[in-house]
Amino acid sequence: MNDGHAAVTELLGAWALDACSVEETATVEDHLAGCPSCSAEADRLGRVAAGLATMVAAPPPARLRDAVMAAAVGHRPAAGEEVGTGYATWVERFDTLLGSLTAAQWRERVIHDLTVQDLVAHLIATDKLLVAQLGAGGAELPEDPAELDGTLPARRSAASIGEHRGRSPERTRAVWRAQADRLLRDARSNAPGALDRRVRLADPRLPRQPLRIALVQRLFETWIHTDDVRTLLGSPPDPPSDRQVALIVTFGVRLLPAALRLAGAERPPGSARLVLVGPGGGDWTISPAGQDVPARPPDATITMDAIEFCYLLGNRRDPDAVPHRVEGDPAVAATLLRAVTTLGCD
Amino acid sequence: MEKLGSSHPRWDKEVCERLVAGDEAALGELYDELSPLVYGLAVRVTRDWAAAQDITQEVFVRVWRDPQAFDPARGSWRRWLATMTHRRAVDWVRRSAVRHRRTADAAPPIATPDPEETAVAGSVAKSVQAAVDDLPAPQREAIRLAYFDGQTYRQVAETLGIPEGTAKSRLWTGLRGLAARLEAEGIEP
Repeated sequence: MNDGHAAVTELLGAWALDACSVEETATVEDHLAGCPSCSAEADRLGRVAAGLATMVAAPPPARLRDAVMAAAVGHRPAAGEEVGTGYATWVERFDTLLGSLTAAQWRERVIHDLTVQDLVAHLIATDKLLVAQLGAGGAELPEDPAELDGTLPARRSAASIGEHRGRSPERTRAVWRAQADRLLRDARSNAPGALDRRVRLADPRLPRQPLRIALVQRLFETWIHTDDVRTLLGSPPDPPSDRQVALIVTFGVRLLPAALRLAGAERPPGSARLVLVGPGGGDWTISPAGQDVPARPPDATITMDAIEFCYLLGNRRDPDAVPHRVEGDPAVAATLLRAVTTLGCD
Repeated sequence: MEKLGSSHPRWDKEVCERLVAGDEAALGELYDELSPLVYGLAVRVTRDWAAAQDITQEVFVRVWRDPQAFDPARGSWRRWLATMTHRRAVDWVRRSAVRHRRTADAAPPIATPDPEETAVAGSVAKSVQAAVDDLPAPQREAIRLAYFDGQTYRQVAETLGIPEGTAKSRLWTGLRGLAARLEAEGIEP
């Protein structure tokens, strides 16, 4: 117990009623984290305060129900909709695009000094990680400290690229496609609840995620590589559907607190409100603690297009140059935007 | 057929599991059961129909997006949603107070519905209402200003013309009194 104990105790009633200032709320909550007796009292008072709400219950307008349900499913599709459908769509589109390439185009450099064939070999390496986990008979892979090495994805990619350089592009394409089909088959044929099974993502240092989230990452990466090749060919962009943008955005927002922690900001980077406009967008408050209840005003508000956020997530945009608007602390915003770019797959 | 209601821990847990599994019908059920609580509270605190609808949508979308943030071991959906709603509503009141200074009598009066008429309320609301009615008037008034009008304890002190320390202690004593009475009655608010 620290010196602030008495001061916090007398604030607990006001705190339970959300009647403290922003600073006092923070003081109380910091204290509660380390004081079991205040924490028990706060829980008791909080329960009673919430009970007061029953006195003023009033039915909302009937049309609000449809709006709420539509908005919810826009943010996270219901399980009844095939979660693999989006991924399957982009596998098909990427495959068709690859099938149209000439031998010379396969050898052209597309991004980061990689040829198109290298890019597909890289995709094979990242897809493979998920395939291996699904093949483990439904069991979660045991924790292996060697797996938590952040350089692992790059080394796996490099090995796959080296291996495929000795092969024909058609062979590389066939290996990728066969593995992607197997991934889809395994993901779809699993028992009910399997999509909630936790798996490792491409970057093993990120917290394990439900399979449905890992499949969104596969969708995202397959789309971004399709986009890379289309850009190389000078074809117009073929953006993800609104629903797919919403899925990708949700994936990014969900992992941002972990990315911020991995980025190892020297001081807590502060909280930020992220406003993504356009189809698939939304409004989030991201704090390093990973909570989204807006207890205090965010240190910075960042506004940008949802689709531009997807490109940033793929590290296809420069965080300084991507069109966006910042209100509040520019350093907090910059830290967050840099963290977004680390969640891609390369 | 007997239907589990919002006051059953088993219902809380089941709904949570179904939400995690992506069962849209579970969200519909949660909404049907508890949207009057969320919306009613948001309207009462913000006194703004549009803001209350926005808050209601935000709260349910948040639940759908991340149902695992709710831990059935730590309380009911009713408590979780009321807590989230109140924070957001109070936040809205304080932001709009900065934009244009509101005064209590400028806001449209909102009738408090009879708890017996509302779906969610039931016996819990009745017990809470009775416990609140039996509080000493100074404590009841302080809690009303803080919880239902979204005032800080400093504003409560100013409204009632009492020292800040007195406002703090009225809120605290009042809540403790309610807690003791409801616990004695075996009511889980």
